Amino acid sequence: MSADKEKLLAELDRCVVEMDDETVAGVAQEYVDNGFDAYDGIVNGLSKGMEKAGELYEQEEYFVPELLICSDAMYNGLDVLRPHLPKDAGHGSAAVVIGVVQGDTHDIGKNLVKIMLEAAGFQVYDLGRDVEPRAFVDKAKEVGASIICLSTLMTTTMHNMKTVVDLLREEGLQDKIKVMIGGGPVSQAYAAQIGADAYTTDAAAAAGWAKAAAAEEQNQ
Amino acid sequence: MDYQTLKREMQNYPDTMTNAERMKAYAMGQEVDRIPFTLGGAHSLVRLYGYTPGQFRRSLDVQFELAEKIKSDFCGSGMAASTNLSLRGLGEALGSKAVYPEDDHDYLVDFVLKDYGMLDDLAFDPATNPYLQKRMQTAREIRERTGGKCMVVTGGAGPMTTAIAIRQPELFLRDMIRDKKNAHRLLDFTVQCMLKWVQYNCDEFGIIPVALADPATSANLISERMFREFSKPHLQDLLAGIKKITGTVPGIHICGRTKHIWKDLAELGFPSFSVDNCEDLAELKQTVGDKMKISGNVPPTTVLRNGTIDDVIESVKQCLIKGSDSPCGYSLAVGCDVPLGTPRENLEAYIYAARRYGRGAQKGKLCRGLIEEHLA
Repeated sequence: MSADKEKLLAELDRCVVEMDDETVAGVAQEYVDNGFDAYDGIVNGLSKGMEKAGELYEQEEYFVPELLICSDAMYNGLDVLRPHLPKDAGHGSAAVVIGVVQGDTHDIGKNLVKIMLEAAGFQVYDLGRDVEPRAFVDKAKEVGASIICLSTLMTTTMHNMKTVVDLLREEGLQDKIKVMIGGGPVSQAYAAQIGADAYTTDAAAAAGWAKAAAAEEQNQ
Repeated sequence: MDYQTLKREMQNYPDTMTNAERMKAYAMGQEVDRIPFTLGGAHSLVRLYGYTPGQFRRSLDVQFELAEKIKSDFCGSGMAASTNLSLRGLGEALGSKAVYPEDDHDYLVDFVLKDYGMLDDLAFDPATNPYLQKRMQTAREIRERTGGKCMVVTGGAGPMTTAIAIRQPELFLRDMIRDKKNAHRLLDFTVQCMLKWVQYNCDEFGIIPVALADPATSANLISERMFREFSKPHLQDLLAGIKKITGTVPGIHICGRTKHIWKDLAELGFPSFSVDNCEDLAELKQTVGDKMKISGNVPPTTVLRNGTIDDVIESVKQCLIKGSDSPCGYSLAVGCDVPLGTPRENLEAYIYAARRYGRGAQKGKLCRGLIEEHLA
């Protein structure tokens, strides 16, 4: 790798982790102007920075405001790099369907998980908030997703997570599509109780689990 | 323990003081019949009596009926007229849009402050604002129906929580890094609004208690540094203002992680703090128990709503062991609101355990019940 490329990758990484959301687009532009590979720029530049931001979040160095600005930087960089990806890029990256379950509109947590999943290279289909159970299953089938991520902050809507798990069972998809849950009132015990595959405590942990699950699936 | 046994056992531990007598005596340092406790508002218990949250919201008759039933079933204090704006009311009064599902709590779907250019035009006038006037009208009606005898209470949310009821949370959280000046302007505006509300209420009802909650100031959203930079100075203004109006400083509940700011809360002068179940009550007691009355923290979802009778009893026991000898006093509470759909037997188990293990409670001392049963 040329020294210039390495320098620019490090700069993309730094822009994200240091919340430099204004400089990043210029750096990304310089990177593509030099003819460097856009995919590399995402994986070894922007995503790397976002992963570091996720680590800082786990270590309680960063909190939600910091993580949001890091993600602004990441997306600003992505806007420049993405048009330069070869047409088949993204094929082969695992798909995830994500949303806040029906009856709840608290979506900060869900959005953070989405950010970390995208940084980890997943193709994320975000159904938004207040999403009915059937929509998760239908979307996962449509896009061939192997993971559904469900979020809620409210006790009154937790049961909709179970409905999604049950729908997958009814259709015999429980081995094909894994379910990860998260949010304030949810716990490991609740995940076990409803038959969800995983409970994770925060966005970085969620992306970590998804990566491990995707790797495991590839090895099978 | 099964429900029948619980019912039978419960009879061995009757209350011998009223809530008011107990609170007063406990505050004065006298031994009381059992540990004081709180058990959520009527809005959380509606389903037990066959009502939906929607029916409860719409009908004063239902609210009166439930207040009476909760008084006899769950040691409630009877009907009160509340003008507490809770977490979202101030935002709604200013123009944020809330929805009220028939079978669930309300929530905001649209936030009024799209850009800070609008901030100077946002008017918070309790005398003319339709939402606030409706709240006042309801309180007046409740008071009239009780012949002016019921308690009137007010309150609302802290600056951070109110700010994210006015401006979309993710935008406001970004403002705290990218647009600090305006973030402070909005926080200051929330304080001025809250103080207007407290003043307006006190002008009409006399000096009344104020309750505060500020979940958005927890470490689940912001760092200790940001708490000190943004939340703390405005909380300080709010408390000073409330003290000027009412002569006292209110207590506070903050959901979520708060360990890093306990000392700040004591320093701000909060006389009491209700802690979430994600924190350790013993640690809270050790850190600030000599400065604030503390309360907490039976887990609302995993234990109270989804646990067994025995889970609830065990959790109450642990809370009493960890918290009841806190120097400035302790009251048993749930870590947050009681979830809708919590079964009756678990609420009764909570009361049973409070009466049994929390009997003979005195500020600064472990409950006599714990000692007599060799639990501490």
